[in-house]
Parts: sequence; structure tokens; C-alpha cells
Amino acid sequence: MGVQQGAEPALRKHAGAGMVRQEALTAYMFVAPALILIAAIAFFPILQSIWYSLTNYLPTYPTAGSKFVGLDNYKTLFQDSDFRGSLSYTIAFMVISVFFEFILGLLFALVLNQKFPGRGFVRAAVLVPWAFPTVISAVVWRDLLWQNNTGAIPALSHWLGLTSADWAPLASKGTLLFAMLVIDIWKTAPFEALLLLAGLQVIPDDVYEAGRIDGAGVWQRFWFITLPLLKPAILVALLFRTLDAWRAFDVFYVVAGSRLESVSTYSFNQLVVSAINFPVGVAGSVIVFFGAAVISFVFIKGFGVKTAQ
Amino acid sequence: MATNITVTGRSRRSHQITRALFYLAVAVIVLFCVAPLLYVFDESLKQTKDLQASPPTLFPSSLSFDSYSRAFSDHPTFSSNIKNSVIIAGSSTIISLIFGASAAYAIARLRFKGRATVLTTILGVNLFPAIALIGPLYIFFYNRGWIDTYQALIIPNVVFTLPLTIWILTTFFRELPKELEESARVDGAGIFTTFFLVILPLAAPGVFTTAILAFINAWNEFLFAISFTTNDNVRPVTVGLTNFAGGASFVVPWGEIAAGAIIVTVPLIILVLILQRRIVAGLTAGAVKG
Repeated sequence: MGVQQGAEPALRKHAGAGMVRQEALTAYMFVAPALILIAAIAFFPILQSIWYSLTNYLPTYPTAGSKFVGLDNYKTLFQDSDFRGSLSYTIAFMVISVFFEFILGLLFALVLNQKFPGRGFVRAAVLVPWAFPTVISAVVWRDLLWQNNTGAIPALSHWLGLTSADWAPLASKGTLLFAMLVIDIWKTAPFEALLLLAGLQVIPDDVYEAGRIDGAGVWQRFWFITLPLLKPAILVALLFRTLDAWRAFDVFYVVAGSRLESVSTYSFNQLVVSAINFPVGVAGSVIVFFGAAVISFVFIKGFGVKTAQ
Repeated sequence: MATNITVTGRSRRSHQITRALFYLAVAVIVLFCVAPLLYVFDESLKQTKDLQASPPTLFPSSLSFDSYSRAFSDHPTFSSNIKNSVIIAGSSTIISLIFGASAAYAIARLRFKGRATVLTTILGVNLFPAIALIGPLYIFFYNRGWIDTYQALIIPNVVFTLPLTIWILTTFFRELPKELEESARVDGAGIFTTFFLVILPLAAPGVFTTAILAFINAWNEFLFAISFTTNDNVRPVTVGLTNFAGGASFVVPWGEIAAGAIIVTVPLIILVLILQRRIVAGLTAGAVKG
């Protein structure tokens, strides 16, 4: 995704300065509506969130006024053991899901990159979990697959002799987190495979051929050719997977409710459900925002992900 | 000679074993991806007594479409939930295309200062967590009496469908041959004329794919929907289906949940499978050119 600046120097030389200026003017007219809309509905609300997190304003009780309270809401937040719990659950969820989604996604991509009859069909199957709305997949997995007594997974696991007949995976926090991880991995590993597959397909065959002639085995070709050349695609996929896991809401909300919260569901429960804790919830949501900013910064500056053309 | 033959024989056998293992891996991948969907479909066709069986049975004892009719009759708002989703996702898509197409064209084809900054700014929105927008938008909608209205869901959806639209359209516009555009300009067509009469018709398949992706994105939205609505009649289907289990009854309506999930996702899945190639191209555009 390198910047395509100065792509047509010849054209620029022939075109008059007036035409170039007119083209730039038209371009600004073309991008302005979208930029203004995004500024109004995305950037401005983020700034407002930061502001509201520093006040005691309650939208449903506006008569209580709006006073600047500094970092008080953040103090309340970090004194709440539920919030600290949500932080550690979210980080655990993020690290484990990103790791397994990457390993599975890479394995799937390596298989799909081979030429075999029915490859189109397999690639279509891989799109199925992606096409499932996240929240609906969470409902279906919760009620039909993980469900304590009639679910398919406890029954299958009992049939295989792994667990007792009364195993209730959604009842304890540890297995609840495990259940959510499985749902998330099912939903997103196949898609990660498609992203990595797209990266694999642009690696030219002659690079592998050269490696083979030089006597590199399968494993060496993977380690010294595939992985380095796939690195840009891997980093983009990891950036978005890490961000999505960090801000995870749907799966936590549907499967765990308020029993086990992510930072996003914690913030939602303060902000929307209990209107009285609105400022604390906004502070939680600002933490999610800054966490996302840190993750993006680490990937873009630290690992050199290029996100824009 | 003899050793040679054994070597070939052995390598053929090891080749066959590799082949078999490879197809086993392919089968595992397919099963991993589609088994949950097939199980949900299976459940949606079961009668109540099959559904309550513990341990669950693999196949229905007899096919029954009761769950499909009960998904509508026992959940009176389900049909309006579907209608709401179509209206909300459709409007978000159209708004994103109107605002996004011209911006994407400028970014893909026109020369102007700050082009990279503009694209970075727009794509930067993808990094925003939805939860961080909820507070201020809630206040804005609450104060205007917009809670429980379509616009309270369409506006925040556009936050995420617009950058998506611009990004995918930019990559599609870049792939178009430059010659047609240049000859249109030589013939004296201005940038506006070129864009509306040459580029947009040429890019129609790309625009359509983009529209599908934006629609799916908005169709799947859940957090804004539960934050800015309280009335089941105006809620989209993601919230409607989530509330299937929340009724007065203690029995989870498994069959209806399964049927509802099939009704809500299978049209999308079919659409995605038909447009598979283009959708994958659109979705992976960002990752490849890294």
C-alpha cells in the first residue's frame, strides 16, 4: 500500500498549472462531504466522550448540572474491582484469541493455497462463519451448542468420555471464557485465513523455485521465504484482530451478560443500563479508545504496518 | 535398478499418504466452518420433543417447520425487526455510497495535496471502538427525542460503513483502465462528467460488491441498536433475535432461535457465496498490497 505520489510525472509536465489546480479543487470538493460527515459523527463524539468523562453530567438528570471533576471518574473506575476484572478478562481474551486465530488462520491459508479440485467450494465454506452476524452466532452457540443440558458440545464431550454428563460449561467463569474464545475463534479464524491467503497468492512461484534449487526444504522455504514475504499481510490481520478482541462487545454481552464483563460491556452496563453511572461508563469507553490507540500505535510505528496508501 | 524401483514405490506411497492427509485437512477445515450452521439448520427442523432431548439427538425424528412459524407467531415483533433491519442497513448503505463514491474517486484518481492524509484520516475511523461513541451520541439523540427512531441507528452505522465503502471503492476504482477516462477528458469532458458517465457505470460491479459489504456490516450491528432503542417494534433483527430467549417462559425456545437464525443469516450467506470472488477481492484488498 505504498503512496502513489508522483506516479504520472509526464502527464503533470504536459498539463498546465491551471488544469492541475482545477483538478485539485475538484478533488477537495469530492472528498469534503465525506470528511465533514466523518468529522461530525466520529471525531467530534470521541472528543465529547473525553470531555464527558471529566464531568459529572447525567443525561437523564440534566438538572443535576455539569461540573468539571478532573480525573474523579477514572479514580472511581480503577477502584471498582469489576472494572479491574473486566480489564484482565479482556486482555486474556485478546491474547488467547489473537494467538489461536493466527495459528489456525495461517494453517487454513497454507492448505487453501494449494491447487486441488473443489478449492472454490472450500473457499466458499470458509466465508460462512464470516457471513454470520457476530451477535447471532453468539446466541446460537450459547443456546444450541454450549447450552448446559441439551447443547451439542457438552453432549459430544460426554460421549467422548472427556466430561461428566452434568458438565455445565456456561456455569463457571473459566469455562465461560473458554466457550467465548471458541465462538470467537470459529467466527474469525476462517476470515483471517482469507486475508493471509490473499497475501500468500501474491508471492511469486519463482521465489519458491529459487529456494528449491538452492536446496531449501519445505520447512526452510516456509520459514525463510513464506513468513518474511507474508509479514505485511500478517501484521495487518493481527492489528485488526487485536483491535477487535480488545473492543469485543457482542460475544461478552450475549454469552456472559454481567457475570463476566469485557471493558466494552462493563462500560455499556454503567453507561446505558445504569444511567446513574453514566460518567464512569464514559470514562471506561475512553479507556477502550486509548487502548485501541496504543495498539494501533504499536503496530504502525513499532512493527511498521502501513494502513494507508 | 532394483533400488530405484523401491525408491519410486516408496515415494509414490508417501505421496499418497501426504495427499490423503491433505484432503483430511481440507475436510476438517470445511467441517469446522459449516458444522455449526448445519447443526442450527438441523435444530430448526426438529419438533419440540426432539429439541428437549438430553443428550440431543443428531437427526430430527420427523421434519417439522413449526419452529419457523412459531418464530413469527410467538414473537410478534420479529417480522418488523426484519423490516427495520432492511430499512436501517439499506439507508446506511445508500448514504455511504452517496458520500463515499466521489471521495473514493478523488483518492484513487485525482492529484491533490494531502491525499494520503485524507485517506489515513478516513481509515483511522476503523480503529475507533464503537463503545467510545455511545455516550455523546446517546446525549445527542436523547435530547432530541430520537431514541427509538431509525435515524438514531442509521447515523452511527454510517460511522463505520462510510470508511469501509471509501476504502473498498478506492481499490476498485484503481483497477479500472485509465485509457477510457483519459479519452473522455481529451474529448472535453470535465471531471464531473467523466466521474458520473464513465467511471460509475464502469465500476458498477465494484459499487455493487461494496454496497453488499456495507449492507452486511450495518445488518450485523448490535451495540448501537441496544443503546439507542428501547421499543421492540423499532429494533433491528440482531436485537430481536437476542431477545427470543428473554420471555416469561423458563424454557429456552431452541427451535425458534434456530429458525430465526436461519431466516436472518441464510439470505446473506447465499448472497455472499454467489458473489464470493468479488467479496473476497474487496475484503482482502487492504491486506495484500501491504
